[in-house]
Amino acid sequence: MSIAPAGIEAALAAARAHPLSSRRTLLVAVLLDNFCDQAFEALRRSAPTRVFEAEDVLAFRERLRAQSPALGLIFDLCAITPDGPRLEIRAVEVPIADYGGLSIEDFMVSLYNANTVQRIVIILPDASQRLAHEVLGQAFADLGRLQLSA
Amino acid sequence: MGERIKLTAADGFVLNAYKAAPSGKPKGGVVLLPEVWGLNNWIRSEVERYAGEGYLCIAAATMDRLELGFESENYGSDHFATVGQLMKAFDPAKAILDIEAAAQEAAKAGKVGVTGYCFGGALTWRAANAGLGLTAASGYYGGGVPNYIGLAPKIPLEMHYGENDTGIPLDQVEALRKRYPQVAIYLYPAGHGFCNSDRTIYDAASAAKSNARTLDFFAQHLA
Repeated sequence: MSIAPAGIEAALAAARAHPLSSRRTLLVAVLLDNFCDQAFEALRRSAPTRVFEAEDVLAFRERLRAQSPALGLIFDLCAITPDGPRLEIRAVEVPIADYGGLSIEDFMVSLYNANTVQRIVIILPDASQRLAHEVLGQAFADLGRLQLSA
Repeated sequence: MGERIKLTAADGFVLNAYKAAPSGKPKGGVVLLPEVWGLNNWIRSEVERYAGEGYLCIAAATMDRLELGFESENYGSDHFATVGQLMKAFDPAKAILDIEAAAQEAAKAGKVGVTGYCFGGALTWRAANAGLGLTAASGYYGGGVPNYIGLAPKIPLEMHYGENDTGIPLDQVEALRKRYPQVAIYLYPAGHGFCNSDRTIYDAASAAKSNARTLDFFAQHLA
């Protein structure tokens, strides 16, 4: 299997079009994770500096993690360890000042649900949470910044 | 043509409503619960559609307790914050009293069904849980499933959701199906608010199919 950045971008677009789909969100996370492994295989001999001179894939992933906390979080999510991060749909409160930026669907549903909207979040081991789509978007942007395309 | 009327809830609160009667003997009564825009043009047209189908239909202004007479044709984001602030005081228990008042008025035509959209869809589920002398319920894309999934319906109920609804997770719709296999839960290839012909999200095919199901459901249970 070979995943090009365009394929990840398409999956990310599909996830954004269905922002409450856990499955689409998880798919993007797995594609991002897998792309990093593929990039290492493609670049380790032809362009070792682009994989930070890493000797093996695990070392490469650790160096990526240092370069991109968003990718690091994706790696942890995809590892599916018992005490690791996980995806969850949660109600997130919307401050009144932010109401003007809501989609009409979010607006309507929030009104009769105590001014909250549903969001897919990544629950971290310390019980804090990150908006999943923000993390995915940052991780994808980091792939481009780090020039990992073969 | 319909008419604006007043209803008195069990706690004495007087709310607005919109009522339309069929030309002949009613097949029964229908309580219609609006979106968050209140008794606006589209909701009044829906009341008249049900009257055209032979039902005495009454839409209750379930936002009147927050701002008496509130209704809006403005679907834009420029007043989201205003309405958001208004709804902070919403109390579903009080809304049930308003629905009960509408159901009692509609019962003059016989058995009563309840339907509603978005805000009204979620209230439809709550009404099905409360009973209120209603006979059947058919709700549309009520958001906030986690807030009502624990309320077991006491009357026959069906629900309609959009597959592409960005406000209601499909995982939650699936959870409803699993928890209440006796409730018919339909999905349509449409977004949130797909029945509202005054909005760009309107999906004529999905609206027609779901409306036909509601009419069949009411014909089955209100006869």
